[in-house]
Amino acid sequence: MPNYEKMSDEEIARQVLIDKELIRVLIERYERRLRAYIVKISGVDQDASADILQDAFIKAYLNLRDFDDQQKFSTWIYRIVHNETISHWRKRRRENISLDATEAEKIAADLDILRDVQNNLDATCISRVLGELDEKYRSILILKYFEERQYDEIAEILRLPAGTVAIRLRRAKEKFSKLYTKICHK
Amino acid sequence: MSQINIADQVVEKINGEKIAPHTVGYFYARRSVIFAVAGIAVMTGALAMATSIHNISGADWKFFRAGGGSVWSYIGASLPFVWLFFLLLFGLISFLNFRQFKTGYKYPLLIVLAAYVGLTFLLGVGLWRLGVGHFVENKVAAGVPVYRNMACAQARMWSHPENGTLSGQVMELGDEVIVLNDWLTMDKWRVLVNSSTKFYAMNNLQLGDKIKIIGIAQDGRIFVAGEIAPFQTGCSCGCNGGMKKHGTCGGK
Repeated sequence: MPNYEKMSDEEIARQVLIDKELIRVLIERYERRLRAYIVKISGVDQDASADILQDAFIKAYLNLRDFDDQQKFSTWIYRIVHNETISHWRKRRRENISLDATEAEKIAADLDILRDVQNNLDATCISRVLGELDEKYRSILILKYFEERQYDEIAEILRLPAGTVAIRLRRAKEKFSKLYTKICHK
Repeated sequence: MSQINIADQVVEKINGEKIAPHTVGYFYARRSVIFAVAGIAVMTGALAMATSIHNISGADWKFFRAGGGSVWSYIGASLPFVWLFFLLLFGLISFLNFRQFKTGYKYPLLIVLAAYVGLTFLLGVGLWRLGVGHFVENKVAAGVPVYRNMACAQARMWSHPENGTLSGQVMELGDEVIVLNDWLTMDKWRVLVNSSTKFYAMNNLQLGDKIKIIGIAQDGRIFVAGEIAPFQTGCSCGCNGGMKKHGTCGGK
C-alpha cells in the first residue's frame, strides 16, 4: 500500500482518477483551511461552509482530468472553492464575518492599526469592517493576510492579471482603512 | 460537522449518483469551441478591418479641403463607424473568450485588445489588397437596408449641388460630358469636364464608376466639374440607376 502521507497533492490528485476513495486524503488535508476560507469571505455558518466545500470537491472531481500537472493543486482547489463560495453567497443574504484577535492582527499589522488591536472590541470591529467591504476586496485581503498567498497565487485563484491583483489589493487596503476609521474610531 | 463526514458525504455522492470525471474528449471539445470562437472573432475583425481600410482609403483630404470641409466634417464623412463598432465588439468578445484559456487570465484587457487589433490589422490589410473590403461593403449594402441607409447618409454629404458638391454613378461617358445619376434625387446631371478639371486618385473614368465632384452647378442640371475623385461607398446598392430618396435601391 503506497504511503500517501509522503505523496504530494498533485500525485494524489492523479491517483484519484484510478481510485476515487483517495479523494478522502485531499479532503482531509484541505478541509480545515478551506472551510475557514469559505467562512471568512462569505460569513456563512459552519453547516453552509460544509455544503459549499462538498460541492466544490464534487466539482473538482468532475474536472480532475483538466488539472494540469504544471499547476499547484492548492491554487486549483482554492479557485474552485472561491467560485463555489461566491456563487453560493450571491444567492443568500450576507452574514457577519467573524475573526479572532490573532487573525485580526494579521491584517491590522499591515494597515498600521496594530496598536488598537489589543482590545478585543477592535477584533470584532475589524470583522465588521471586512463584512462591509465589497466581496472582491474582502477576498483579496483574506487571501493575502489570512491565507498568506503570494501575488501569483492570488492571481491564479481569482483569475486576474498580476497587475490587477496589486491595484485591487492597494484599493482594498485604502477602503479598509477608511471604513475602519469610520466604523471603529467613532 | 466533523472532518470525516465531509469526506464520507463526497464519496457517497460520487458513488450514489455515479459521478465520473469528465472525459479528455469533453475538455478537447470545450477547448475547440474556445478556439473556434477565437477564430471567428479574429476573422470577423479582419473583415471589419478590411472594409474600414477600404472606406478610409477612399477618403481624400485634399479633395475634401478643396470643397471647403472642416476636419470634423471630413472625419464624420470618412470614418466607417459601423465597421469600427464591429471591430470593438469582436475585440471585447475575443477578450472574454481569451480569458477561458488556461493562462489567458494573466493578460489585461488593453494588451489583449492591442494584440487583437494588431492581428486583425495585418489580416485586414491582406484581405483589403485582395479586394475583400470592397466586396463586403457592396454586398452588405446590397443586402442590409439599415447599413445601406447609413452608407447613403455619408454619401448624401456629397450631394449638395447648390453648395458645389455632387456625387453619383456614371451612366454615360463622353469626351467632355459625363451623365451622372445623383443618388439622393435620382436626377441625371450633365457634368462638363475640360482640361482644367483635376482628377484625384483615378486615371480613367469608366461607365458605372461612383464619383464625387466639386464644381459649380448651373441651370438645367448642368455641373461644371472642378475636381473629381472616386467615391468608395456601398450606396449604389450594387444595382444600376442610383438611389431612391429614402435610401433603398432605385432599380430605374
